[in-house]
Amino acid sequence: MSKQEIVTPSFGDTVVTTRIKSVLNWARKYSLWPMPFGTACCAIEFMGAVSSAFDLSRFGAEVVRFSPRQSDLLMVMGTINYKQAPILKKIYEQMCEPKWVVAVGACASSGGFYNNYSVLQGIDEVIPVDIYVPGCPPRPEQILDALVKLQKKIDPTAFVDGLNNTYQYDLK
Amino acid sequence: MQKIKNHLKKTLSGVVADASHDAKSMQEVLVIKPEHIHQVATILKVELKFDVLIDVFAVDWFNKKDTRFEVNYLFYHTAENYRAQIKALIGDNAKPSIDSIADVYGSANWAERECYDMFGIRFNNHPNLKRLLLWKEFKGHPLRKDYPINQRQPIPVLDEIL
Repeated sequence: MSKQEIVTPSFGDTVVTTRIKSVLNWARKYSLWPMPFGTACCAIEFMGAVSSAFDLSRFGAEVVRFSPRQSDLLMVMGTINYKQAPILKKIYEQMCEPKWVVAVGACASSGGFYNNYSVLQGIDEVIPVDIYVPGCPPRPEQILDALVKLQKKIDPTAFVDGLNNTYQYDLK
Repeated sequence: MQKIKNHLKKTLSGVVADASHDAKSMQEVLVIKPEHIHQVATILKVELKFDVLIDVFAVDWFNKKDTRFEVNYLFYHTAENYRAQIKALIGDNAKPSIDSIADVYGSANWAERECYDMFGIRFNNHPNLKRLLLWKEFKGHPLRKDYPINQRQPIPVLDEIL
């Protein structure tokens, strides 16, 4: 006797069966709390992305926190130099699991055009990165796109827009 | 201003090797030998009342064989709104050094530390000659022309202050 056959006679169609993991991931991906680590002009684009014209809160990442202990999404926006690298690492270590990192812009992703003695050549030298956003600076739409990609990475077997086809998201 | 200009030339005539006026920046440019810098700074401070030392910086003339490094001092006379640039040409290319003027002008302390940090010029009798901007594991002096553009340094560890 399957679960369906047990559940359906008692509760009708008022019950949805799922897995705890899926529910948790569903909750996590639609309630990301970003922490902006803004050091340069990309942070200005982030201000555009969170304010009304683009509105990051439409994707669930509304509550921008300025403490690593209250957030689970670290958004690194701007040039990180070598002296700042240990500070960034410390901030990352202070965040609670599960946590994700988005490198916004060319500087955070690769050092950008700062090929010199003082600038870290990408934050992945010190912390793991989930999503890289290109651009100098990127458009707010790209930041939104990064968020959607991250949501798909958090819950890769999600339903799409109420349709019942599960899919495996290709991160390429 | 003319008065202080004449006074400047008269007082420093013994040590100045070359003098010119830079019309664009409206300041006197005086070239001296490095061993005279402390004497010159004292005269500027005590006799001529140049009350501000704006900056100390070096230039790396990589292709000049005899004097590769020059150290520049920018002095400012607030009462007369008058500026003087002192250029000290350093003869020793391998171990460039010059006397510190941190005991005459307090602002020279950090300015000379930055100069040491970036160009590796040693300031004799400096009270605290260590790196100002870069971290202590850093090797070499990045604003020298022979510092490789691709050279990377170890990522510093966090200071105790954090």
